[in-house]
Amino acid sequence: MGTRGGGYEAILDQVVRCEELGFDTAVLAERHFRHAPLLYPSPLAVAGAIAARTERMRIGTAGRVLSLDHPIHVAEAAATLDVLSDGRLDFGVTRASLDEEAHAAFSSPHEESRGRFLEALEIILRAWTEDSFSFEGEHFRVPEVSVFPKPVQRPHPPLYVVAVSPERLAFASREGINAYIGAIRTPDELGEAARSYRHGLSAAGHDPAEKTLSVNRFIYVSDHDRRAREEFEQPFLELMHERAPDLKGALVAKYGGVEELTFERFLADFCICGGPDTVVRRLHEVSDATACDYLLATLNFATLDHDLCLRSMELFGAEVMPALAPAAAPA
Amino acid sequence: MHVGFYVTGSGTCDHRDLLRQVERADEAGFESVWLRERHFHRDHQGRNFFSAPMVVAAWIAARTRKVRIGLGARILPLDHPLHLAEDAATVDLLSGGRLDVGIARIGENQLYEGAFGRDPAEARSRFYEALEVMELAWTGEPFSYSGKHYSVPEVAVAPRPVQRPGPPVYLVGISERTLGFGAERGLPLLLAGAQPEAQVARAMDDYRGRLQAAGHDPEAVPMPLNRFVYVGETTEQARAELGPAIADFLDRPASVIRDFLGSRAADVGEEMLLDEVFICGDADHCAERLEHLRGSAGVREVLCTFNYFTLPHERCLSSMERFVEGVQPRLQSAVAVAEG
Repeated sequence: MGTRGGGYEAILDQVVRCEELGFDTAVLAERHFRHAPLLYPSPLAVAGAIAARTERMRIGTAGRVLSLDHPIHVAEAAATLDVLSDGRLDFGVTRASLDEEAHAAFSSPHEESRGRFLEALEIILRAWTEDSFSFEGEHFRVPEVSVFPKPVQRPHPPLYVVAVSPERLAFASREGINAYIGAIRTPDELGEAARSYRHGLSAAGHDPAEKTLSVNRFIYVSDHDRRAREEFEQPFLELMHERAPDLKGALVAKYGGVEELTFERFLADFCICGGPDTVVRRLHEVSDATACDYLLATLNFATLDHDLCLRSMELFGAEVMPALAPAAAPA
Repeated sequence: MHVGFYVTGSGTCDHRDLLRQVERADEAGFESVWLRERHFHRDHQGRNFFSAPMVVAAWIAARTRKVRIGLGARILPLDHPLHLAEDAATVDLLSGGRLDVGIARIGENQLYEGAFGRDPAEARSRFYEALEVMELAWTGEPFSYSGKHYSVPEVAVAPRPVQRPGPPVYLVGISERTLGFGAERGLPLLLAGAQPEAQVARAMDDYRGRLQAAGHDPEAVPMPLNRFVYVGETTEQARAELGPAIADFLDRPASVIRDFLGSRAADVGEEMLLDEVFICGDADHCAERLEHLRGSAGVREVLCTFNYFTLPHERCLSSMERFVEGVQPRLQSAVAVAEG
């Protein structure tokens, strides 16, 4: 996510600094129109710039909205990124956009998104792995064609599914695909999702130890708890209440009313804000509940100043990350 | 004369070679680099560099500082115009306003339409609608659109490009109707590299006439010309070094050559290509040929292609270096004189 008043240059600076601090992956979401100032309508273009400015860090999408685009364009762009980055792409996909607006604008009705997603995913994987292929589906028809470039990573870049719904999580476990689970679930809810994902993997004959489950958290680190709250409470409330209508809608549905959307509630359930010790403790609660070792940390916020964001990243890199299990990634 | 670098990529170079050439072009003071859009090709060691030109353009934006980045061209009917607008705005922001967007109606063959689920008969009307939607999107203002192919309920597209009203749009096309459409709108025209010089002069005159008739000042509309360039130590050596690549090219099926050159295959031979299509020789010879194009056809901007056909990467690079050293300064000082 960007920062207050910051453009793409600020985002690139943050990512470059994250690589120096030892983060493993930079992950980009895809959102359109009124949400685009927060996130990325063209995540693979931004990823192209990140690939050019970084050397080691992996680059992920969470996720490309497969129902809004032609799958051959998606396959070509993602493979091109894999080539330009020398095999650093983690390819995360999602079925639909959270908002209706994007589906209307791209003339891709929400109710068709399930079918489009499944067909698109098949086409992308075949474009990457087969010398040539053809496809006949309900939404897409592709005559015999050879798609290039092929990705550098073989058989293809690691695949992730953004599992917002239980249904998507069940899909990921059934198909044996890595999953991102997310941002507004409590540690207990995350634990339940993790158990259900692993159970589903085993039931479908996949080895859970070979699959990655990544947990997304909103995180802000400052010198100590009081200062962290002073700096972060207003920006975070502004983000939840004013800048992310779809997230707000989900929160209202979850908690039963807009008056329930208080900072105390967020802190108790899914937002981690404090001095380094507090942040480490809260992250351990998450890893204890989920047995996950891949944290997707959202550290930059469209309502937070760039310098505060950078300081939080620095503290996270210097004081939080060493106390955590191996993998961490900024989103 | 303004000088840019049009990247095509020869048989032996891979994506790293192409990226190095682009970085070199930026350092050497070329004013623009241009990428094309090309699908379903094994080129560049199986790593086709041009199927997603916006991703490559973003990479280039992050690695270069001054050079403008052109897409020559996006094939508009194949993608949703809102995606085109978003991608272009993103690259314009990433590059600090250095993007030029070439637009084309069709690609190399009809497999493109087939694979992307488009009816070739609709290419023209999709092309017109897509440009309209893309330009509305770049305003950043709420708009809605109802066309034959695209229907967009009210939406405001973000981010907005840095350049206002949007990145400059260049027409890439040769058909009567497409040229007429471009001239009506006063669009800059990018002229393909394979036309013989006499044809270039006619095409430029024709487009100037159309611009004039449509009420635009032809002098104010850029018409960059793509040329295949090879600079050798001596003119004799240059011809000998380029010869095998041209022979390979002439071995391709006749239809390819005809389409490529817009002329009859029987008229095409090595001599004709070297004299009328390619700029091939020592630095003095190449500079004179390009200066001649300015005089005879009024060419003010040339986009040089150094990497093409089966030329080995090392030859492309040394030709480019000789150009940078011996040709470019002469052309660019001529700009200073002409504009001073």
